[in-house]
Amino acid sequence: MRIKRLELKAFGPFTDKTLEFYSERPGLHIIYGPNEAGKSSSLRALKALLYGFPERTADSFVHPNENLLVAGCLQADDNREICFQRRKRRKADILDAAGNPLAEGALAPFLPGIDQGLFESLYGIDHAVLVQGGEDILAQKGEVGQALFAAGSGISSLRPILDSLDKEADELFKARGSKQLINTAIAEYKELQRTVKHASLSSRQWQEHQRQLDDAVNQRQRLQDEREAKQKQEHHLERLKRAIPSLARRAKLVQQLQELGEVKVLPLDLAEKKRDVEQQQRATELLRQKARGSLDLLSRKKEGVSFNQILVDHAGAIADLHQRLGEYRKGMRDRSRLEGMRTSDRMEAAELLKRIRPDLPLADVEFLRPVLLRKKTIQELINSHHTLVLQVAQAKKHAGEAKRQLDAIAKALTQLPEAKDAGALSRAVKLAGKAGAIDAEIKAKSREIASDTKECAADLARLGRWTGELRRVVDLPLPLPETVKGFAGRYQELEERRRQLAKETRETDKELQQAVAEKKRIEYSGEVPTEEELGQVRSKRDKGWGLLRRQWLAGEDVVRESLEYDPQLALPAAYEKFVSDADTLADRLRREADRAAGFAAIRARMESLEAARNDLVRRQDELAAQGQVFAVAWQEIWQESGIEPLSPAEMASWLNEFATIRSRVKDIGKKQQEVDEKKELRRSLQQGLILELHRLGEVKDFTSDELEPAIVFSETLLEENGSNEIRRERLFEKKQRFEESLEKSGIDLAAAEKALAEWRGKWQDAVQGLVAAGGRVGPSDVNTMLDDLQSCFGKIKEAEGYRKRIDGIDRDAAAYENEVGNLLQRVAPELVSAPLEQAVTRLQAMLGKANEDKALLAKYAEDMEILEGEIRHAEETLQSLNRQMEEFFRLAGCPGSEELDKAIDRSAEWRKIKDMLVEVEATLAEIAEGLSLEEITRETQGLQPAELPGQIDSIKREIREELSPKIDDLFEVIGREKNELGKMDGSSLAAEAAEKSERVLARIRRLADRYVRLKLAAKVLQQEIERYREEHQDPILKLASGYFRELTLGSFTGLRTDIADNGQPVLAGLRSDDARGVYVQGMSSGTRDQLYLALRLATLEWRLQSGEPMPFIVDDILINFDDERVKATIKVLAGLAEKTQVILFTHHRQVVEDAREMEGKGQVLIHEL
Amino acid sequence: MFKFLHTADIHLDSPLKGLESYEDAPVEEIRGASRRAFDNLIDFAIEEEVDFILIAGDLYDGDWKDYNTGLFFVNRMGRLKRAGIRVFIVSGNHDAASHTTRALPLPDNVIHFSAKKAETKLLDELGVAIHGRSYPAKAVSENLASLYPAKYAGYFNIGLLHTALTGREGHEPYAPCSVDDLRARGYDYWALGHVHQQEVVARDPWIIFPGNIQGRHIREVGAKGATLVTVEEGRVTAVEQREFDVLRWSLCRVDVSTCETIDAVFGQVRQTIETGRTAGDGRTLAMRLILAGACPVHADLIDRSARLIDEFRGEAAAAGEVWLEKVLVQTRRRTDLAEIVGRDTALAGLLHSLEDLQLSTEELLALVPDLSAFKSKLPPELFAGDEPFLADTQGQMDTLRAEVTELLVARLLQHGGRG
Repeated sequence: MRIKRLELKAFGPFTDKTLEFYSERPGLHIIYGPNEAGKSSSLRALKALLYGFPERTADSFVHPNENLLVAGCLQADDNREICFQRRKRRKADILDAAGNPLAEGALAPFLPGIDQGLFESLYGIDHAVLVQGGEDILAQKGEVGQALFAAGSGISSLRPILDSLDKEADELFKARGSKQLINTAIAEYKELQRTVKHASLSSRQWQEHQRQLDDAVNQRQRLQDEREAKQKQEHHLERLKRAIPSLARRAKLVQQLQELGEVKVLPLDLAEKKRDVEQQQRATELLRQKARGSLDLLSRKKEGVSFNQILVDHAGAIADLHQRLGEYRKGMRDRSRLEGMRTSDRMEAAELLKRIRPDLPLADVEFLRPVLLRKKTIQELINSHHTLVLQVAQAKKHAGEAKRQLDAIAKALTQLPEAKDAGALSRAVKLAGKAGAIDAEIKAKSREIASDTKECAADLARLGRWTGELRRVVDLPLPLPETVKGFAGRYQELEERRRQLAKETRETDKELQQAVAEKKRIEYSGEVPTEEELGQVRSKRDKGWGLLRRQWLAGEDVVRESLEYDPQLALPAAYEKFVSDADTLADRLRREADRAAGFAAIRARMESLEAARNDLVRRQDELAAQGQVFAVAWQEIWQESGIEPLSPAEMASWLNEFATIRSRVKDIGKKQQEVDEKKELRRSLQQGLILELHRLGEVKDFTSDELEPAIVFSETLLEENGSNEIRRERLFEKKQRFEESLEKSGIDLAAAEKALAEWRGKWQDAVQGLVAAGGRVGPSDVNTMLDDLQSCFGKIKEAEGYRKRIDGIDRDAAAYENEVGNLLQRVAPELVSAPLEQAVTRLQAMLGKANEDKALLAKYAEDMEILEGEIRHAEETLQSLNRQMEEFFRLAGCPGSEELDKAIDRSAEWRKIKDMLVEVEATLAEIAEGLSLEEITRETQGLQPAELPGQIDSIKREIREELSPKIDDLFEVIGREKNELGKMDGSSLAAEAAEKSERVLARIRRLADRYVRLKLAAKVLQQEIERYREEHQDPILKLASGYFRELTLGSFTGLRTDIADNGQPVLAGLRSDDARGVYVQGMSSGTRDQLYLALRLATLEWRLQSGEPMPFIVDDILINFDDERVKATIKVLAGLAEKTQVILFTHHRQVVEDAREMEGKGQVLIHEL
Repeated sequence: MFKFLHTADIHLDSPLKGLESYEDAPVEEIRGASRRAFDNLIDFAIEEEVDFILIAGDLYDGDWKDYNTGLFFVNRMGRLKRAGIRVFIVSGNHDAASHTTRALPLPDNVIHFSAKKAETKLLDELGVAIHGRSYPAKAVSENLASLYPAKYAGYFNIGLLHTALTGREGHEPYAPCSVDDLRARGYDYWALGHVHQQEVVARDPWIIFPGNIQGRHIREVGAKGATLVTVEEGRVTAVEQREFDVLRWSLCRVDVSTCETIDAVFGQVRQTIETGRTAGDGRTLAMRLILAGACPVHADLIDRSARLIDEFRGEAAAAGEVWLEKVLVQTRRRTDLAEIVGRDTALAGLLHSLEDLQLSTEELLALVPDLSAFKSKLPPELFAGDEPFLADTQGQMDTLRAEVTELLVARLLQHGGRG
């Protein structure tokens, strides 16, 4: 396959750039571009054309991703062609020329099974690969197999691949390692297996524990039963031991009872009762004797006492009179005081009447009582009289006030100025107001204009290059910015070329100086023999030989000539010297051929540098001429404006700034126009105001143009006019109000006066009687008179009250005296003649004495009755006690008290023994725990009480020291076994550990698989390298030898294989003069690069013999090659290009220069980007 | 009317195989899967109030020695006893090998058939006769069915038997017999065990393998459970398969032939995981992904497979409850490798050499001596089981060859040129 055309339609920096790879034979196509020209982009474009765009691309900086487009034509070996385009798309990115998608496999016949990776490694080489390949050959010490295989597979290096396989395998597993993935996994697996084993429970274990548990439970039961029996026995013996003493005591008590014989059992309290009865008998007898003595004493006292029965019978009446004696005494005292008060009141009443009507006696006072009845009417009349008088006065006052006000209003109205119609002025003012702050606007704008103008002028002056009036700025004829830009570009281009030329000149001069220095260095290290010198010496020698020959054979005289030949030496000696010189020079020339050649090369280089220098001078002159033409054209375009231009770049910036000023000047013009318009408007508004003011009679001349004063004046005028109007209206309103008020006051006065007249009639009627006939009285006096009259009647009434009370006292005293007389007549006639008060008091004392005696007699009788009752009761008690004693005797069957005491003692003795017996039997019953007395008695028979404690102790010890510890032990065993079995609860610990170990096993499996693959892969690769070497070594080495020779310019004649110390075949370079060869370690790095290139080219050519050719893409591999080897490499590539297309990307002009020499021979084409 | 549950091949506590753990793997979700599946079955039996349960052999795993497993089983039988459910068991080949079986004291609701001769247990209240016989030894080659008792007239006769019938792939041919042998007994239902794949062998009479209740490795894919049988008036009226598995195994092929980019492969994988997860019906899935198809990004897949698998696992973890058991990249190139490397290139030679490589375990060890030492260090369990490591099978060796080829091609083509 070969590439016929590559179109960079939209890719990287390119737009519609086409590279035609047309040539008769496949051809070497050199794509040249300096740095930044897009060389790398075009290489990527080529790959994109063949294999599509990568996901991310660096070539979308001009054309966005979706617009990227490359196109091209490919030609297969059978001359089939395909032309297509490719876009950056995931699918259907291959399109035909018309833009229709092509089938996925459309390119397959042209790229027979070669994917991008393979293409790049087999058919692509760049500088990095070359250098790496060279270094790897060194690293492998020229190991042939790897070198060949690497070159053959297009891989610069196999070592890293083999290393990476080994490294990965080593990370997985090492036989003695512990940290490798597989090693750690195995360790973990083993640990988990141990866990499984540890957590696992065997059926035997479980059964064993179960059996032990069962045994222990059974044995425990047996021992517990035994212990229970022993405890019972111990308890039984203990009981018998306790019963024996009680049984003995019982027997003794039974015997005592029998000894006591027959006993009458008496009540327990009989002795007590007997003592009580005897004591009571004694006490009762004492009581009876004492009562009898007291009775005798009392009856003697009673006989000596008597009292007055009549007085006692009238006790009530006597007491009543004695009590009323106080009342009687008080009545006598009150009577004299009341008589005095009555006389005083009547005198006061007469005095009061005299103040009102001195003409009337007190007895006639009742004649005046009706006046008091009219008191309320009179009071009302007094009240209304005041109101009526007030109403009259008020009405008169109002009328006066209204009249005074009306006079004042009339005066004010005459003083107000005349009204005017100011409507039109008001409208004019509003109109002017609408114009806003026109004065301020005009002022501000004017200021702006002035300031802008000043700034623009300053800017213009600062910008320079042109002076003139500001307004001329607007239409100054200047060149267009585009024109200036064009000139700037051209100027820069010229500058660039000038700098470039200067740089090249400097470089050339420097190289020339170096060359001269080099030449001098060679010359200083000894004269350099030249061919010319040798020729000269040889001709001298030959000439000498001619002279000798002529002298010797022809016998000619050659003295003159021989002197000429050598003035110092004789001819034969001179000849010999020249022969020797020629030989020496020839020898040196041969020996110092390198120096000679170097010297020659330096000289040639100097010549070429001088030629280049001359060429540079010529090009500088040309450039200067072009600069001249440019300067004239530049001046011309500024002529019309009269400006002396600076450089185009500066003028472009000048123009730019000038344009800014120009636009600002235009703005100033516009502002000025606005100000003028506003001024006109202001003038017309001011005129309107002045006219209206005239019409209102205000002649005013405004000195300034400003509108504001006129508006202010007009507004003040309008305000004044308005306020006068309002004042007038208010006065009229007030006047009307006071007229109404005056009228109302008149009406009120009339009504009040009428009411006062009516009142006077009523008044006269009301006060009738209060004054003597025909007399008059005013409202202010009447109240006092009425009060006095009232008081007069009050005093008369009081006096009457006192008289009635004196009458009552007299009546009561008479009745009391009568009653006392009557009583005395009946009960104590001896006192009738005594004064009343004394008689009553004496009578009362006599009554007290009679009552006291009567009470004493009654008490004596009562006490005697009580004593008689006591005597009777004591006798009854004694009888009852005797009967009780009788009963006791009968009960005990004893005749008397002494016998009774003895019987009681025997009964008590019997009871005591019986109680003890009951107690002993109760104790025994308790000990027997249900056994009968007989049974327990039987069981104790034959027992030796002394042995019992021993027997009991022995049983106790057996329980404590043998049975119980065994049982406790068994409890422990059972607990332990149950615990053990409890742990065996069907736990899933082992199962879970097994699950985990399966997971680790799976990991080991995966890693182990991987390990095997890595090891096998490494092994197979090594073997294959060896096999490839064996198979291809000879033909490829043969081809590679040729390439290596050419690439090293014959410095090496070829390659061969040697066997290294380790038995591996290694590469060696052959030199014509050294049979041993040079190993790669002895080669320079450049030579190693060429060795790798030779191997690559050889395998490529080898492949061409059997496969489809593919373009060989070479990317700047010549960087480190010297000029000669560059030439040689191009030649080699041109040779290869006879058979397959070679595309070389470079940015070295030298490469292009060298290739040009071969251009035109049909197989080398140069494409400049 | 009565119901019974027919199960077999429980292999209690036998661990799940081939699940390598990784970060975010649902470890907790699958812990004790076989026990939990068995618990599911017990819960179901109690809730459904079945009358009895039949266990047709291989209750335990032969290799498993932990008696705790038996105790766990007894505990669960206790639950059934409280629920009044009887359990009939015959031992299978695994049980015969297990130490647990013999020593375990079973509660009285569990009836274990004798290994000496076939027995019949009668359930008079249901009118059921159950015939069965346990394996006396691990390998039983005689036809046990032919020695089963005659049917009980008037009873519903059930035969409980651990057998491979005439042979089932992947299962030892123990207690061989034919369907006709079984028919000849005249029973109404044959409750078989041994074959882990559920299968209704015949419907007249019913002959059924219920399958195991929990898949244990990638060759036991799909739903696992037991068979619920309803009998009315002496006739089977319903046979239903009920699922009890906790973890479900799933083999998913992902066709990536249309994937132009790795991202697209991700899309396919994500979708496959999602679909698989939905099919898992809420269970945790152990999924094996097989990426297949002639694929434009084949080389990339091979090259980045280790990292991609990690990322796929990330996807699985994100989907939740999915355990990626393994990811097999079995894609092919669009074009033949041989065609790609061309003729007479060094690579072509390498491919030829790989093709010509004689591969067997022995030759492999001879070729790479390091591997012998390696092999000796590995746990012996790796060389046992259904897919032993470095087994001398055509399949394994072919895979090895193919993978080594891809490994080398990838290294040489993808990285070689870039040093």
